[in-house]
Amino acid sequence: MKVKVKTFARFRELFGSDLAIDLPEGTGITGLVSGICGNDPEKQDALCGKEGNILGHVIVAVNGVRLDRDDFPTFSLKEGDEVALYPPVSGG
Amino acid sequence: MIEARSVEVFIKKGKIDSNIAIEKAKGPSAGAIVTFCGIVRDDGISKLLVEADEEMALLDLQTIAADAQKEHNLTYVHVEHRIGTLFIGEIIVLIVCGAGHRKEAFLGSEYIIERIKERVPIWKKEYTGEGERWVSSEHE
Repeated sequence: MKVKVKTFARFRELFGSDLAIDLPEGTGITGLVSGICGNDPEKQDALCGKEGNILGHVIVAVNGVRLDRDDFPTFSLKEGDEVALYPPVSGG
Repeated sequence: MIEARSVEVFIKKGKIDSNIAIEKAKGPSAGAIVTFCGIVRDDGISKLLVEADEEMALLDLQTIAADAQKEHNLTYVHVEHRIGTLFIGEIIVLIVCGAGHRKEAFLGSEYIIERIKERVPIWKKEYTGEGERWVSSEHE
């Protein structure tokens, strides 16, 4: 299945923007971020660590709706989903 | 006379003029108008870049402003956040809250800026003589 990933600010510079990712059916958020980080330590440090656990204050939204952190382990992506990855915010 | 309650939120590239919102906040029920301006501070930077997920940020600002109005009984709420390149002294964010009394207007304004800093997808990057850096979150 294909999902689209939008990134912003520091994540845009690290991962690129508007990524189209091909994933196995039923892949979850942890699988997605592990996939886009690969073995790159800089990417892992910014997003998910070596274990694929998304760092605190990173926000994940799917199709415009923020996911609760508690739902990360059980949420399954679907074909055509649009995922937004937000680094910790600093507006205001 | 009962005023229609009003909430206005904007994300914009051009300079912010606080006077327009202050004038709009005036009305027969508004005994107090509190204005908060977040300003580009000279921390040895030459400029600031502000980036947002505009669609989500606008929805968030709308929700936060409406919550503040309800929670603090505001007669008028105006929230305006700038994006793009800004220089020292320019307004990054403007919050104008009108209320019957000062306490509500102060509390409403504080509620809005704290929620913005906590969750709205907006980021700042500072440019200095040595290079550039993303500003870290107060909640990181």
